[in-house]
Amino acid sequence: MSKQYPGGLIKGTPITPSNNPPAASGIWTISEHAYWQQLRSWTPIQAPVAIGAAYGGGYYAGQVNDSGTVYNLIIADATVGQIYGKKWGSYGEITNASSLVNGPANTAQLIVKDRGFLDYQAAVFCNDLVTGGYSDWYLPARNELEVCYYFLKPTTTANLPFSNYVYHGRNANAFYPEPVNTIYTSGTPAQTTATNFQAGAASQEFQADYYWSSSESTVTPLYVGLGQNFSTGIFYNDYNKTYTTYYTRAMRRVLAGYVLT
Amino acid sequence: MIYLSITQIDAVTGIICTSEPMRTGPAYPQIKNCNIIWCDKSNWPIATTAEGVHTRAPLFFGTCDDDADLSVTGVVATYTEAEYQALKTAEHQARKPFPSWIGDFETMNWVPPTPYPQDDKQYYWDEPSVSWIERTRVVQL
Repeated sequence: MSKQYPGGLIKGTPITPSNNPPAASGIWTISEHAYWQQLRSWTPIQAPVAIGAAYGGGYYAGQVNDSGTVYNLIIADATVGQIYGKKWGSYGEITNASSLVNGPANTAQLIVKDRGFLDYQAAVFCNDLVTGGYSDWYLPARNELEVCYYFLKPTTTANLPFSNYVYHGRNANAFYPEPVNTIYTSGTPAQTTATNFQAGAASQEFQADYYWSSSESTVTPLYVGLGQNFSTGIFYNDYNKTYTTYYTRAMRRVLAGYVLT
Repeated sequence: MIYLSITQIDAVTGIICTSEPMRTGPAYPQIKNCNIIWCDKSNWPIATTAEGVHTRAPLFFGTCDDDADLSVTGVVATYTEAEYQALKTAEHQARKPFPSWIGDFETMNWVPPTPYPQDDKQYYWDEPSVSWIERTRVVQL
């Protein structure tokens, strides 16, 4: 249950004019009043452009909340920033790229592990990418990749909310309008409304296939690379990080603002 | 109707992707009733320079009205119908993943002779046996 603050604000939600508190005739504690004064000085966090629109050297894909810091996620142009057949890493090697939301940190960790041997091909591909005048591209973390699926799902295929003992769709770092920690339904998320990302004649679409994220999970007995299927939405983990049956799509992110945590 | 190919330009500056990085993000030139039907994605990803400029133009093929202005930045070439169909055939063939797969020229897609199994396991295509083989995996996150 989210904690409620004066004026009906809920932690983790963007501050908008509709969140104005009622007339200040009630009795507020000093800390509550100070809190509201702080909130009023903040600028509402809004989407910079429509989902799938050109932005930041690529295309806008949504936002994530990384411990109170909200980022705009930017997907690389598919003509240069999407590739099939890259392996995640070395079989059985532990990388400590454990963040579910901090793709830049994960990618940096994987690049350190790579040591130039090209074992961490997906991360290297993103790290080496220069496009749109930017060189800060990275392999998205699992929850950043999930935002892409939520807003840019390419097909009308029904989602699989549950499979292999795993509920799919929960994203602790989701940000408005995507609900936090919510399991998919067969129809939600639906096919994206961004026509340039819809399967078919579109050119920027995610393929209805598996994508690597940069996140590593400590599943016993082996550490696994995490991914997601962009047809049914199922979260996936692969203990054999050398498999190449995955797509890779580069991402960058820019600061959007802050929310309370 | 004109058959043509176009490429990407910066969404704000309108500068072509092979001249400068598309700092705003990619867009297409504004052409009257331009309908993009397919693209040369079998040759993607395209390499970029150290500054992030495309080393060659990605091509997006389609049609537009006869009276469309084709002098705008981003128009690459126009074709006869025969030339256009030959290019489309070549791209379709280049996308063929396995010899046994069956092509759909209209959608530019290829489908396997045996449908992908309808369950939540992951499979890979094994061309020698012409079948899907289940991959082993770890099940818990």
